[in-house]
Amino acid sequence: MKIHLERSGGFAGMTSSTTVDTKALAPNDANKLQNLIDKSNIFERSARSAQQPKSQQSNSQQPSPSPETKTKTKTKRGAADYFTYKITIQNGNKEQSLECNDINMQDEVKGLVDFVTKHGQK
Amino acid sequence: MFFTQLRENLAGYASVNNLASKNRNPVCFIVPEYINKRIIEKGTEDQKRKAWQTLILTEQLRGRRNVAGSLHTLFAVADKLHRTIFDAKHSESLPGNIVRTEGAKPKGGRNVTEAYDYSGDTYDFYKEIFERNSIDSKGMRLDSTVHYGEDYNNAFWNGTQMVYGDGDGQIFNRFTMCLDVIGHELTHGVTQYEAALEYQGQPGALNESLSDVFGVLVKQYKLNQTVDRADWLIGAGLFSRKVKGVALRSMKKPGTAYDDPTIGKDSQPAHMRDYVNTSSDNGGVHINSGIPNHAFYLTAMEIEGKAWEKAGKIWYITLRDRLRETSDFQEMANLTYGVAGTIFGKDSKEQKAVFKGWEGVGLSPNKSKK
Repeated sequence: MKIHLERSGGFAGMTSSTTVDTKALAPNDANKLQNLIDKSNIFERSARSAQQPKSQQSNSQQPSPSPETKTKTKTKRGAADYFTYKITIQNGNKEQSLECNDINMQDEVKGLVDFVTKHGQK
Repeated sequence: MFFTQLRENLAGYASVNNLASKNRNPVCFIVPEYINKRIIEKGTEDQKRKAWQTLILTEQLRGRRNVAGSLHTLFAVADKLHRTIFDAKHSESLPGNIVRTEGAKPKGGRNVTEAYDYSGDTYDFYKEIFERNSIDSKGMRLDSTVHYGEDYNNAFWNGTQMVYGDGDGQIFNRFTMCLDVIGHELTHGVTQYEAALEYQGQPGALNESLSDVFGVLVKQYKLNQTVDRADWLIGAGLFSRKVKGVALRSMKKPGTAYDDPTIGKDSQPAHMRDYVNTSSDNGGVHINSGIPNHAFYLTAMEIEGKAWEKAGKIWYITLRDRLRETSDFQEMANLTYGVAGTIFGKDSKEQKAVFKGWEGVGLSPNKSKK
Protein backbone atom coordinates (compact mmCIF):
# COMPACT_ATOMS: atom_id res chain seq x y z
CA MET A 1 0.00 0.00 0.00
CA LYS A 2 1.25 3.47 -0.86
CA ILE A 3 0.20 6.72 0.73
CA HIS A 4 0.95 9.79 -1.27
CA LEU A 5 0.78 13.27 0.22
CA GLU A 6 0.86 16.41 -1.83
CA ARG A 7 1.03 19.77 -0.08
CA SER A 8 0.55 22.96 -2.04
CA GLY A 9 -0.39 26.58 -1.51
CA GLY A 10 0.88 28.39 1.54
CA PHE A 11 2.35 31.88 1.48
CA ALA A 12 5.21 30.68 -0.72
CA GLY A 13 2.93 28.79 -3.08
CA MET A 14 5.25 25.79 -3.27
CA THR A 15 4.17 22.24 -3.97
CA SER A 16 5.88 19.27 -2.39
CA SER A 17 5.11 15.57 -2.49
CA THR A 18 6.04 12.64 -0.34
CA THR A 19 5.16 8.96 -0.48
CA VAL A 20 5.16 6.15 2.06
CA ASP A 21 5.37 2.59 0.80
CA THR A 22 4.22 0.25 3.55
CA LYS A 23 6.64 -2.41 2.24
CA ALA A 24 9.53 -0.20 3.27
CA LEU A 25 8.26 0.37 6.81
CA ALA A 26 9.39 -1.39 9.95
CA PRO A 27 6.56 -3.55 11.41
CA ASN A 28 6.05 -1.08 14.28
CA ASP A 29 5.62 1.81 11.93
CA ALA A 30 3.43 -0.18 9.57
CA ASN A 31 1.06 -0.92 12.46
CA LYS A 32 1.09 2.67 13.54
CA LEU A 33 0.23 3.73 10.01
CA GLN A 34 -2.63 1.27 9.78
CA ASN A 35 -4.04 2.64 13.04
CA LEU A 36 -3.78 6.15 11.74
CA ILE A 37 -5.52 5.21 8.51
CA ASP A 38 -8.32 3.52 10.42
CA LYS A 39 -8.70 6.46 12.81
CA SER A 40 -8.68 8.95 10.01
CA ASN A 41 -11.71 7.31 8.44
CA ILE A 42 -10.18 8.31 5.17
CA PHE A 43 -12.07 5.90 2.96
CA GLU A 44 -15.39 7.05 4.33
CA ARG A 45 -14.41 10.71 4.07
CA SER A 46 -13.12 10.15 0.57
CA ALA A 47 -16.36 8.47 -0.49
CA ARG A 48 -18.48 11.26 1.00
CA SER A 49 -16.27 13.89 -0.56
CA ALA A 50 -16.57 12.21 -3.95
CA GLN A 51 -20.35 12.55 -3.75
CA GLN A 52 -20.12 16.33 -3.46
CA PRO A 53 -20.09 18.43 -6.60
CA LYS A 54 -16.50 19.18 -7.65
CA SER A 55 -16.83 22.92 -7.03
CA GLN A 56 -17.51 22.32 -3.36
CA GLN A 57 -14.82 19.78 -2.73
CA SER A 58 -11.61 21.65 -2.12
CA ASN A 59 -12.76 24.38 0.15
CA SER A 60 -15.71 23.03 2.03
CA GLN A 61 -15.94 21.38 5.39
CA GLN A 62 -16.27 17.60 5.44
CA PRO A 63 -20.02 16.92 5.53
CA SER A 64 -21.70 15.88 8.80
CA PRO A 65 -18.75 14.78 10.91
CA SER A 66 -19.57 12.04 13.40
CA PRO A 67 -20.15 13.32 16.94
CA GLU A 68 -16.92 12.00 18.39
CA THR A 69 -14.61 13.75 15.93
CA LYS A 70 -13.11 17.07 16.93
CA THR A 71 -13.44 19.40 14.02
CA LYS A 72 -11.44 22.42 13.17
CA THR A 73 -13.47 25.17 11.65
CA LYS A 74 -14.86 25.40 8.21
CA THR A 75 -12.64 27.26 5.77
CA LYS A 76 -14.01 30.76 6.09
CA ARG A 77 -14.57 32.79 2.99
CA GLY A 78 -11.68 35.18 2.65
CA ALA A 79 -9.13 32.80 4.19
CA ALA A 80 -5.84 32.70 2.30
CA ASP A 81 -2.28 31.36 2.26
CA TYR A 82 -3.15 28.16 4.13
CA PHE A 83 -1.60 24.90 2.94
CA THR A 84 -3.82 22.53 1.01
CA TYR A 85 -3.23 18.78 1.26
CA LYS A 86 -4.17 15.90 -0.98
CA ILE A 87 -3.80 12.43 0.48
CA THR A 88 -4.03 9.48 -1.88
CA ILE A 89 -4.03 5.86 -0.78
CA GLN A 90 -3.15 3.27 -3.37
CA ASN A 91 -3.93 -0.31 -2.52
CA GLY A 92 -3.43 -2.69 -5.44
CA ASN A 93 -5.57 -1.22 -8.17
CA LYS A 94 -7.76 0.71 -5.76
CA GLU A 95 -7.10 4.37 -5.16
CA GLN A 96 -8.83 6.93 -2.94
CA SER A 97 -8.08 10.59 -2.35
CA LEU A 98 -8.94 13.19 0.20
CA GLU A 99 -8.35 16.94 0.16
CA CYS A 100 -8.21 19.29 3.10
CA ASN A 101 -6.31 22.32 4.36
CA ASP A 102 -4.73 23.80 7.50
CA ILE A 103 -8.00 25.34 8.57
CA ASN A 104 -10.48 22.50 8.10
CA MET A 105 -8.20 19.49 8.66
CA GLN A 106 -9.57 17.27 11.35
CA ASP A 107 -7.30 15.88 14.07
CA GLU A 108 -7.65 12.30 12.86
CA VAL A 109 -6.47 13.24 9.38
CA LYS A 110 -3.67 15.36 10.83
CA GLY A 111 -2.16 12.30 12.52
CA LEU A 112 -1.92 10.61 9.15
CA VAL A 113 -0.51 13.71 7.42
CA ASP A 114 2.17 14.07 10.11
CA PHE A 115 3.18 10.42 9.81
CA VAL A 116 3.54 10.54 6.04
CA THR A 117 5.46 13.81 6.25
CA LYS A 118 7.88 12.26 8.73
CA HIS A 119 8.36 8.84 7.13
CA GLY A 120 7.85 9.55 3.47
CA GLN A 121 10.27 9.70 0.58
CA LYS A 122 10.11 12.34 -2.10
CA MET B 1 -5.47 23.81 35.41
CA PHE B 2 -8.39 25.11 33.46
CA PHE B 3 -10.57 25.70 36.51
CA THR B 4 -7.71 27.21 38.49
CA GLN B 5 -7.28 29.74 35.72
CA LEU B 6 -11.00 30.43 35.60
CA ARG B 7 -11.20 30.86 39.36
CA GLU B 8 -8.19 33.21 39.36
CA ASN B 9 -9.73 35.34 36.67
CA LEU B 10 -13.06 35.47 38.47
CA ALA B 11 -11.27 36.64 41.62
CA GLY B 12 -9.99 39.49 39.50
CA TYR B 13 -13.50 40.40 38.48
CA ALA B 14 -14.66 40.60 42.06
CA SER B 15 -12.34 43.50 42.73
CA VAL B 16 -13.36 45.41 39.61
CA ASN B 17 -17.07 44.94 40.00
CA ASN B 18 -17.44 44.70 43.73
CA LEU B 19 -18.79 41.23 43.40
CA ALA B 20 -18.63 39.61 46.76
CA SER B 21 -18.70 35.99 47.80
CA LYS B 22 -15.65 33.83 48.15
CA ASN B 23 -17.97 30.89 48.16
CA ARG B 24 -19.01 30.99 44.56
CA ASN B 25 -18.26 27.81 42.71
CA PRO B 26 -16.59 28.98 39.50
CA VAL B 27 -17.96 26.07 37.57
CA CYS B 28 -21.51 27.29 38.21
CA PHE B 29 -20.69 30.96 38.01
CA ILE B 30 -21.60 32.54 34.76
CA VAL B 31 -20.16 36.00 34.21
CA PRO B 32 -22.38 37.91 31.84
CA GLU B 33 -20.61 39.14 28.75
CA TYR B 34 -21.27 42.79 29.65
CA ILE B 35 -19.05 42.41 32.72
CA ASN B 36 -16.21 41.02 30.64
CA LYS B 37 -16.68 43.81 28.17
CA ARG B 38 -16.44 46.43 30.88
CA ILE B 39 -13.27 44.85 32.23
CA ILE B 40 -11.73 44.84 28.79
CA GLU B 41 -12.57 48.50 28.39
CA LYS B 42 -11.81 49.77 31.87
CA GLY B 43 -9.63 47.25 33.62
CA THR B 44 -5.90 47.22 34.20
CA GLU B 45 -3.69 45.41 31.69
CA ASP B 46 -3.65 42.32 33.84
CA GLN B 47 -7.42 42.34 34.31
CA LYS B 48 -7.99 42.89 30.59
CA ARG B 49 -5.74 39.96 29.76
CA LYS B 50 -7.54 37.70 32.22
CA ALA B 51 -10.97 38.78 30.99
CA TRP B 52 -9.97 37.83 27.48
CA GLN B 53 -8.58 34.52 28.60
CA THR B 54 -11.77 33.75 30.47
CA LEU B 55 -13.87 34.45 27.43
CA ILE B 56 -11.71 32.18 25.37
CA LEU B 57 -11.73 29.44 28.02
CA THR B 58 -15.49 29.74 28.35
CA GLU B 59 -15.96 29.41 24.63
CA GLN B 60 -13.71 26.37 24.66
CA LEU B 61 -15.81 24.91 27.45
CA ARG B 62 -18.76 25.34 25.15
CA GLY B 63 -16.88 23.21 22.65
CA ARG B 64 -15.84 25.89 20.25
CA ARG B 65 -12.13 25.74 19.56
CA ASN B 66 -11.72 28.56 17.16
CA VAL B 67 -13.05 31.54 19.03
CA ALA B 68 -11.35 34.72 17.92
CA GLY B 69 -13.91 35.41 15.22
CA SER B 70 -16.97 35.03 17.40
CA LEU B 71 -15.49 37.01 20.25
CA HIS B 72 -14.56 40.05 18.24
CA THR B 73 -18.16 40.61 17.33
CA LEU B 74 -19.08 40.94 21.01
CA PHE B 75 -17.23 44.19 21.33
CA ALA B 76 -17.83 47.65 20.03
CA VAL B 77 -15.05 48.30 17.61
CA ALA B 78 -12.53 50.93 18.45
CA ASP B 79 -12.11 53.88 16.18
CA LYS B 80 -8.41 53.26 16.25
CA LEU B 81 -5.72 50.64 16.22
CA HIS B 82 -6.49 47.69 18.46
CA ARG B 83 -4.02 44.83 18.35
CA THR B 84 -3.94 41.58 20.25
CA ILE B 85 -1.10 39.09 19.94
CA PHE B 86 -1.60 35.45 20.92
CA ASP B 87 0.86 32.60 21.40
CA ALA B 88 -0.18 29.16 20.16
CA LYS B 89 2.85 27.62 21.89
CA HIS B 90 3.52 25.36 18.93
CA SER B 91 0.04 23.87 18.97
CA GLU B 92 -2.42 24.39 16.15
CA SER B 93 -5.20 25.64 18.38
CA LEU B 94 -6.32 29.17 17.71
CA PRO B 95 -6.06 31.79 18.90
CA GLY B 96 -3.83 30.59 21.77
CA ASN B 97 -2.90 32.54 24.92
CA ILE B 98 -2.83 36.31 24.95
CA VAL B 99 0.67 37.68 25.26
CA ARG B 100 0.27 41.30 24.34
CA THR B 101 -2.65 43.71 24.19
CA GLU B 102 -2.87 47.17 22.63
CA GLY B 103 -0.69 49.69 24.39
CA ALA B 104 1.00 47.11 26.57
CA LYS B 105 4.76 47.05 27.02
CA PRO B 106 6.78 44.90 24.64
CA LYS B 107 7.18 41.36 25.89
CA GLY B 108 7.14 37.77 24.64
CA GLY B 109 10.03 37.79 22.21
CA ARG B 110 10.66 39.15 18.75
CA ASN B 111 7.86 37.23 16.96
CA VAL B 112 5.36 38.98 19.23
CA THR B 113 7.06 42.35 18.79
CA GLU B 114 7.17 42.03 15.01
CA ALA B 115 3.54 40.90 14.74
CA TYR B 116 2.55 43.83 16.95
CA ASP B 117 4.69 46.51 15.30
CA TYR B 118 4.13 45.48 11.70
CA SER B 119 0.36 45.15 12.01
CA GLY B 120 0.48 48.66 13.47
CA ASP B 121 2.48 49.85 10.48
CA THR B 122 -0.05 48.25 8.13
CA TYR B 123 -2.95 49.85 9.97
CA ASP B 124 -1.18 53.24 9.80
CA PHE B 125 -0.57 52.86 6.07
CA TYR B 126 -4.22 52.20 5.30
CA LYS B 127 -5.35 54.97 7.65
CA GLU B 128 -2.91 57.64 6.50
CA ILE B 129 -2.88 56.93 2.78
CA PHE B 130 -6.42 55.69 2.13
CA GLU B 131 -8.26 56.90 5.24
CA ARG B 132 -9.25 53.32 5.91
CA ASN B 133 -9.91 52.38 9.52
CA SER B 134 -8.57 48.84 9.74
CA ILE B 135 -9.41 45.74 7.71
CA ASP B 136 -13.17 46.24 7.64
CA SER B 137 -12.91 50.06 7.56
CA LYS B 138 -14.75 50.07 10.88
CA GLY B 139 -11.86 49.69 13.30
CA MET B 140 -11.81 45.88 13.40
CA ARG B 141 -9.34 44.44 15.92
CA LEU B 142 -6.13 43.07 14.50
CA ASP B 143 -5.49 39.66 16.02
CA SER B 144 -2.32 37.69 15.38
CA THR B 145 -1.17 34.31 16.62
CA VAL B 146 2.55 33.53 16.66
CA HIS B 147 4.42 30.25 17.25
CA TYR B 148 1.71 28.34 15.42
CA GLY B 149 2.56 24.66 14.91
CA GLU B 150 6.00 23.09 14.93
CA ASP B 151 8.57 24.22 12.38
CA TYR B 152 5.60 25.58 10.50
CA ASN B 153 6.90 27.06 7.24
CA ASN B 154 4.02 29.39 6.64
CA ALA B 155 1.76 32.27 7.58
CA PHE B 156 -1.93 32.58 6.72
CA TRP B 157 -5.10 34.60 7.15
CA ASN B 158 -7.96 32.42 8.38
CA GLY B 159 -10.76 34.86 7.62
CA THR B 160 -10.61 36.41 11.09
CA GLN B 161 -7.00 36.65 12.20
CA MET B 162 -3.39 36.29 11.13
CA VAL B 163 -1.43 33.17 11.95
CA TYR B 164 2.38 32.92 11.85
CA GLY B 165 4.72 29.94 12.00
CA ASP B 166 8.31 29.95 13.19
CA GLY B 167 9.78 28.32 10.10
CA ASP B 168 12.00 25.25 10.35
CA GLY B 169 15.26 27.20 10.32
CA GLN B 170 16.42 25.07 7.38
CA ILE B 171 14.42 26.60 4.58
CA PHE B 172 12.55 29.39 6.31
CA ASN B 173 13.02 31.86 9.12
CA ARG B 174 10.14 33.05 11.27
CA PHE B 175 7.31 34.48 9.20
CA THR B 176 6.83 37.61 11.31
CA MET B 177 10.16 39.04 10.29
CA CYS B 178 9.03 40.77 7.09
CA LEU B 179 6.82 43.84 7.12
CA ASP B 180 5.54 43.05 3.63
CA VAL B 181 4.46 39.56 4.74
CA ILE B 182 2.32 41.05 7.49
CA GLY B 183 1.01 43.70 5.11
CA HIS B 184 0.20 40.88 2.68
CA GLU B 185 -1.79 38.91 5.25
CA LEU B 186 -3.76 41.89 6.50
CA THR B 187 -4.57 42.87 2.94
CA HIS B 188 -6.31 39.50 2.50
CA GLY B 189 -8.64 40.79 5.19
CA VAL B 190 -9.20 44.04 3.31
CA THR B 191 -9.92 42.11 0.11
CA GLN B 192 -12.31 39.86 2.01
CA TYR B 193 -14.34 42.88 3.14
CA GLU B 194 -14.22 44.61 -0.24
CA ALA B 195 -14.14 42.65 -3.49
CA ALA B 196 -14.16 39.25 -1.75
CA LEU B 197 -12.28 37.74 -4.69
CA GLU B 198 -12.67 33.99 -4.80
CA TYR B 199 -9.53 32.14 -3.85
CA GLN B 200 -9.02 30.12 -6.97
CA GLY B 201 -7.96 30.62 -10.59
CA GLN B 202 -7.58 34.17 -11.88
CA PRO B 203 -9.70 35.83 -9.17
CA GLY B 204 -7.53 34.03 -6.61
CA ALA B 205 -4.34 35.14 -8.33
CA LEU B 206 -5.70 38.71 -8.28
CA ASN B 207 -6.45 38.28 -4.60
CA GLU B 208 -2.84 37.18 -4.07
CA SER B 209 -1.50 39.99 -6.22
CA LEU B 210 -3.39 42.64 -4.28
CA SER B 211 -1.84 41.30 -1.09
CA ASP B 212 1.63 41.45 -2.65
CA VAL B 213 1.02 44.96 -4.03
CA PHE B 214 -0.17 46.46 -0.75
CA GLY B 215 2.35 44.39 1.19
CA VAL B 216 5.24 46.03 -0.68
CA LEU B 217 3.55 49.44 -0.52
CA VAL B 218 3.35 49.22 3.27
CA LYS B 219 7.08 48.56 3.27
CA GLN B 220 7.90 51.27 0.72
CA TYR B 221 5.83 53.77 2.69
CA LYS B 222 7.54 52.87 5.94
CA LEU B 223 10.96 53.26 4.32
CA ASN B 224 9.82 56.27 2.27
CA GLN B 225 11.16 54.72 -0.92
CA THR B 226 10.52 55.97 -4.40
CA VAL B 227 9.84 53.39 -7.11
CA ASP B 228 13.45 53.26 -8.24
CA ARG B 229 14.74 52.68 -4.72
CA ALA B 230 12.30 49.91 -3.81
CA ASP B 231 13.34 46.27 -4.24
CA TRP B 232 9.87 45.07 -5.30
CA LEU B 233 10.49 41.78 -3.52
CA ILE B 234 8.07 39.82 -1.38
CA GLY B 235 9.48 38.02 1.64
CA ALA B 236 13.09 39.15 1.28
CA GLY B 237 14.89 37.61 4.25
CA LEU B 238 12.38 34.82 4.84
CA PHE B 239 14.64 32.16 3.37
CA SER B 240 17.40 30.80 5.56
CA ARG B 241 20.96 31.47 4.47
CA LYS B 242 21.15 27.94 3.08
CA VAL B 243 18.66 28.70 0.33
CA LYS B 244 19.75 30.13 -3.02
CA GLY B 245 17.25 32.93 -3.33
CA VAL B 246 16.68 36.58 -2.47
CA ALA B 247 12.95 36.43 -1.76
CA LEU B 248 9.79 34.42 -2.39
CA ARG B 249 8.62 36.58 -5.28
CA SER B 250 9.74 39.49 -7.39
CA MET B 251 7.30 41.98 -8.89
CA LYS B 252 10.10 43.48 -10.93
CA LYS B 253 11.22 40.16 -12.45
CA PRO B 254 8.75 37.37 -11.75
CA GLY B 255 10.42 33.96 -11.92
CA THR B 256 13.85 35.09 -10.68
CA ALA B 257 13.42 35.29 -6.92
CA TYR B 258 14.96 31.89 -6.13
CA ASP B 259 16.59 28.88 -7.79
CA ASP B 260 17.64 26.26 -5.30
CA PRO B 261 18.43 22.54 -5.55
CA THR B 262 16.14 21.65 -2.62
CA ILE B 263 13.09 23.84 -3.08
CA GLY B 264 13.27 24.35 -6.82
CA LYS B 265 12.89 27.45 -8.93
CA ASP B 266 10.57 30.43 -8.72
CA SER B 267 7.90 29.52 -11.30
CA GLN B 268 6.05 32.79 -11.55
CA PRO B 269 5.18 34.01 -15.05
CA ALA B 270 5.61 37.67 -16.01
CA HIS B 271 3.32 37.52 -19.04
CA MET B 272 -0.04 36.03 -20.03
CA ARG B 273 1.64 33.79 -22.61
CA ASP B 274 3.26 31.93 -19.70
CA TYR B 275 0.09 31.59 -17.62
CA VAL B 276 0.34 28.37 -15.59
CA ASN B 277 -2.58 25.96 -15.75
CA THR B 278 -2.45 23.76 -12.69
CA SER B 279 -4.75 22.26 -10.11
CA SER B 280 -2.24 22.79 -7.28
CA ASP B 281 -2.34 25.88 -5.14
CA ASN B 282 -6.03 26.51 -5.89
CA GLY B 283 -5.19 26.85 -9.56
CA GLY B 284 -1.79 28.49 -9.05
CA VAL B 285 -2.93 31.60 -7.18
CA HIS B 286 0.60 32.27 -5.85
CA ILE B 287 2.11 31.54 -9.25
CA ASN B 288 -0.03 33.47 -11.71
CA SER B 289 -0.12 36.47 -9.35
CA GLY B 290 3.21 37.25 -11.02
CA ILE B 291 1.32 38.66 -13.99
CA PRO B 292 -0.81 41.33 -12.25
CA ASN B 293 2.13 41.97 -9.87
CA HIS B 294 4.30 42.86 -12.82
CA ALA B 295 1.56 45.02 -14.33
CA PHE B 296 1.47 47.06 -11.13
CA TYR B 297 5.25 47.35 -11.09
CA LEU B 298 5.33 48.57 -14.70
CA THR B 299 2.54 51.07 -14.02
CA ALA B 300 4.26 52.43 -10.92
CA MET B 301 7.62 52.72 -12.67
CA GLU B 302 5.99 54.58 -15.56
CA ILE B 303 4.32 57.08 -13.21
CA GLU B 304 7.50 57.42 -11.07
CA GLY B 305 7.71 58.94 -7.60
CA LYS B 306 6.16 57.11 -4.68
CA ALA B 307 4.12 54.13 -5.76
CA TRP B 308 1.42 54.42 -3.10
CA GLU B 309 0.42 57.95 -4.16
CA LYS B 310 -0.95 57.28 -7.62
CA ALA B 311 -0.57 53.67 -8.75
CA GLY B 312 -1.46 52.48 -5.26
CA LYS B 313 -4.47 54.78 -5.16
CA ILE B 314 -5.76 53.48 -8.50
CA TRP B 315 -5.39 49.89 -7.33
CA TYR B 316 -7.00 50.61 -3.96
CA ILE B 317 -10.05 52.38 -5.42
CA THR B 318 -10.44 49.52 -7.90
CA LEU B 319 -10.35 47.00 -5.04
CA ARG B 320 -12.71 49.00 -2.87
CA ASP B 321 -15.27 50.08 -5.46
CA ARG B 322 -15.07 48.04 -8.64
CA LEU B 323 -13.72 44.51 -8.38
CA ARG B 324 -16.14 41.62 -7.96
CA GLU B 325 -15.74 38.10 -6.55
CA THR B 326 -15.12 36.54 -9.94
CA SER B 327 -13.12 39.32 -11.59
CA ASP B 328 -10.32 38.06 -13.79
CA PHE B 329 -7.12 39.70 -15.06
CA GLN B 330 -8.79 41.28 -18.08
CA GLU B 331 -11.42 42.84 -15.87
CA MET B 332 -8.73 44.15 -13.52
CA ALA B 333 -7.02 45.75 -16.50
CA ASN B 334 -10.28 47.33 -17.67
CA LEU B 335 -11.24 48.55 -14.22
CA THR B 336 -7.88 50.04 -13.23
CA TYR B 337 -7.81 51.83 -16.58
CA GLY B 338 -11.28 53.23 -15.94
CA VAL B 339 -10.47 54.27 -12.35
CA ALA B 340 -7.27 55.99 -13.48
CA GLY B 341 -9.32 57.98 -15.97
CA THR B 342 -11.85 58.95 -13.32
CA ILE B 343 -9.28 60.07 -10.75
CA PHE B 344 -6.62 61.63 -12.98
CA GLY B 345 -8.51 62.42 -16.16
CA LYS B 346 -9.07 60.77 -19.51
CA ASP B 347 -5.78 60.30 -21.38
CA SER B 348 -3.86 61.52 -18.36
CA LYS B 349 -0.29 60.43 -17.81
CA GLU B 350 -1.52 58.10 -15.08
CA GLN B 351 -4.16 56.46 -17.24
CA LYS B 352 -1.66 55.91 -20.02
CA ALA B 353 0.73 54.38 -17.51
CA VAL B 354 -1.93 51.87 -16.49
CA PHE B 355 -2.47 50.94 -20.12
CA LYS B 356 1.23 50.45 -20.63
CA GLY B 357 1.49 48.40 -17.44
CA TRP B 358 -1.08 45.89 -18.60
CA GLU B 359 0.22 45.84 -22.16
CA GLY B 360 3.56 44.86 -20.72
CA VAL B 361 2.05 41.62 -19.42
CA GLY B 362 0.04 40.85 -22.53
CA LEU B 363 -3.35 42.40 -21.67
CA SER B 364 -5.09 45.36 -23.28
CA PRO B 365 -7.46 47.36 -21.10
CA ASN B 366 -10.78 47.71 -22.87
CA LYS B 367 -11.13 51.46 -23.25
CA SER B 368 -14.83 51.39 -23.93
CA LYS B 369 -15.80 49.52 -20.75
CA LYS B 370 -16.81 51.64 -17.75
